Amino acid sequence: MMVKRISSLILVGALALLLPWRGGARADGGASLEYKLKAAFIYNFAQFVEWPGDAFGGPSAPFVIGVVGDPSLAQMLEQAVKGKTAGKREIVVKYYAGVDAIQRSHILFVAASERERMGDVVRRAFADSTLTIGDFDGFTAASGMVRFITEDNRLKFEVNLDATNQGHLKFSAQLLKLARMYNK
Amino acid sequence: MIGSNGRRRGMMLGMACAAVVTLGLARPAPGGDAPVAADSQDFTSMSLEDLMKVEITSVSKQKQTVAEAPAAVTAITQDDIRRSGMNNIPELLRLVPGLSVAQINGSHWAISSRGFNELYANKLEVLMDGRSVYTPLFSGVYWDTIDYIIPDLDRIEVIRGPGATLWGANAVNGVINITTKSARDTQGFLLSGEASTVDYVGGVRYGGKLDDNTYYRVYAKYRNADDFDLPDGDGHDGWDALRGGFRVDRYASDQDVLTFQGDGYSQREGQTYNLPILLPPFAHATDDTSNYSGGNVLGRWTHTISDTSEFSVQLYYDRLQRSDVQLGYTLDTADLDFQHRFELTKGQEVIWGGDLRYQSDHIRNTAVGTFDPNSRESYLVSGFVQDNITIVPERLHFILGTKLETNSYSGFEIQPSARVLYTPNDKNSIWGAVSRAVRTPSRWEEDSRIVFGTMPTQAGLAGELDTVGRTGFDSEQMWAYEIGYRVQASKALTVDAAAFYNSYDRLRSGTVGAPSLSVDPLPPHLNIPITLKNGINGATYGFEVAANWNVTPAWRVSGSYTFLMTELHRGFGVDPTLERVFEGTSPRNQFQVHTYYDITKNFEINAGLYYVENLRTGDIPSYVRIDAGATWRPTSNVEVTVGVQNLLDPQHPEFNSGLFFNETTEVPRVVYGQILFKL
Repeated sequence: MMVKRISSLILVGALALLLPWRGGARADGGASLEYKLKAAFIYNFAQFVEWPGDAFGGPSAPFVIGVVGDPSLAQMLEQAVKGKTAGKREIVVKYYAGVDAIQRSHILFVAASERERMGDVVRRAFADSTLTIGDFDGFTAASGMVRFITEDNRLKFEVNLDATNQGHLKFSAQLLKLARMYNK
Repeated sequence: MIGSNGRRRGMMLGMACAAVVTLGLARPAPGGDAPVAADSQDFTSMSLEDLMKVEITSVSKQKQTVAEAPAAVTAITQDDIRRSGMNNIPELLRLVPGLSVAQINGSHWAISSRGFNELYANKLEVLMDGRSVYTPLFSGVYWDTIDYIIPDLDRIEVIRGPGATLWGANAVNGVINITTKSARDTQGFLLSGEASTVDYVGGVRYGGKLDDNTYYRVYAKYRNADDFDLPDGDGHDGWDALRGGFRVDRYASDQDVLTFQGDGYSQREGQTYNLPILLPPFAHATDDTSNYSGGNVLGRWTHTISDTSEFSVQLYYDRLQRSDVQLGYTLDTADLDFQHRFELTKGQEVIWGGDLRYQSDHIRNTAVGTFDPNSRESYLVSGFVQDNITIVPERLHFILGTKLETNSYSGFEIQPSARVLYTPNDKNSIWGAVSRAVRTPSRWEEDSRIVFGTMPTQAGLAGELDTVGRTGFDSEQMWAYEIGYRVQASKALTVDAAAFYNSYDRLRSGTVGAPSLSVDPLPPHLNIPITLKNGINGATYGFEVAANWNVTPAWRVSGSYTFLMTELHRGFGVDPTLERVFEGTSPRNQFQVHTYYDITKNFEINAGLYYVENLRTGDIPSYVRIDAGATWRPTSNVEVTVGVQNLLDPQHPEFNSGLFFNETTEVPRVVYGQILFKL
């Protein structure tokens, strides 16, 4: 018994020494990969969705990707699309702290924190032809247009065609082939 | 997303994902099927097709894709759970190939992996959200106390075969990891109710936000189950259970996830005990109603250091109280767990960690069972390390690891494992493993004297057989040899097969000693001790094959076949009882087929057929069980299900090893209706 007790103590001691150990420098968090992916998906949507002509202020107006409620994603998007274009338009990323701060955007990513304000978001999106993207449960059910879903540890997306039609957005067949259709 | 349930979940997921990955659900992309590297490359230059192949578990987990599936893993997803129509966790385990699940009576189950089934099957580790629910009294799980709001379960992952290198002693024949959804994924109201011919179950959950990064849920659930029937007459095994709990998940930063959760339960269970007495007929059926209660709190911090490095620290406290005519039992457990995963070199991923567990119990002795001492404190200290070595990227991996532990019962234990995975291409993978695992002694085996049975003797006196534990009882040990093969035969068809040979040594046995005359209790009787020893060895071998076929997008068929042989041998002078019992408590052949059909988006029909071969122990006949149910979703927040279980059979027995006093009843046909309402 005594021997067991002592060997326990030795192990406890060894663990106690190890516990406060910290790893090396902080690099990208594991979450950043997901952000990078989402940013790339959003960039792809900008290429494969067609907006009505009146969605842009003029021939040289930029393509606006807005993010509401998720500053990390906005940052990641900014890095990802730097110097890139949608059609011939320069892509600009804008971050809005809340639904009230939203300006006219061509794509709007809505974080789960704005879940309660989906009604306002959807109303504006339909009027402005804004492609709304979210990643929380019930986003498409609340007339959001594209919802990211994670399945088998892979990022996929679901499209609510009723909503995209109401926003006068045309999804290319290429895109729809990869999408999951949302049905009420 | 990021290992929010710590190492155990991480590993399980890793292995389970691996299965999925190997089975290759990814779409074929132009330019070949090579898995997509997820380093710091520019994703915007990739096509959506390719983006959809990138794995997004945390990077450390992502490294263990195909490479870390050298084990027989099955995951029951929330979809499987929902479509099964089953309303509690032990029943859901019927879906897993290689497990044997038998209901003893209304509230008791015998559940084991790859043999040695019993009321308290002792070679299976079970974790709920990272908390071990394996108890050291008889070595087993109180399945009646394992429950949750079923739609809030995330998944149930099962490893058949040894998991001891990571999970520690007692993960000999398998590990079951039950995980609940994060609070973030269970926001809003959920009401669920079931009424059936045998029970009423009602649950309510509410999930909300404390601030932008902090989510919580609270829940309560009540179950009231009727008595099952005996072959001739009514049983006394109805029960009711009330439980409640909470979970808080705080995403403190991109690198840090904090989880705090707790549950409590109180239940009242009817049970008939056939208690041994010293007068003819030497058994007395006693109807008892017992109160069992318990609770736990758990905190976990997961920190991502970098893309290739992550650690988690977890602390929990658990208390359980069970008092009935056999024994009174109180157990307090405190457990501190640490794990860290990092990339040692390019191509070597290391996971290491340690665990400290303190347990303190108190036992109320009764006429059928005494423990000396009746209170005992015990410690478990363990550390593990596992290295995943990539020999050929994406093709050949070796995984070497070991667990070292010291515990108050058997002292120092070493549990190493070596695994290899060969993936010649994305459609096929082959794995093999050699591992050692031990099942550490229980309190019963060291400190107890339990009445096993009473009978008349030749001398005209009554005889009483007592099992007697002793301090020298040793750990049971096993060497396991496993191979497995997974193939994606076509886009729609996947097959997963595993075979094993488990060699056991020092299994629990009894040796009958010299009778002595006793007058305590009266009447005078012969007391015959059965000393618990480690006198049985032997082997089990078998295989499991599971297949999944997506016939059409709306119709899925899955099935599995399980074969198991148990061959035990006892040493000189060893009583044959336990050898015979355990050779016959797990079915040799089992198969099951499920069909999941979505007739429309809002209406689905699901059905399952289970065949379980007869058990020699207890003369349990083989049975075929058919379950079928229809689910209708009139709106997106209402779901209505009606169904039947055991369609073919008004009632049938499933288990009786004769080693416990609890009366066995028969599993009835059940007609049920369920309603689920989300807001």
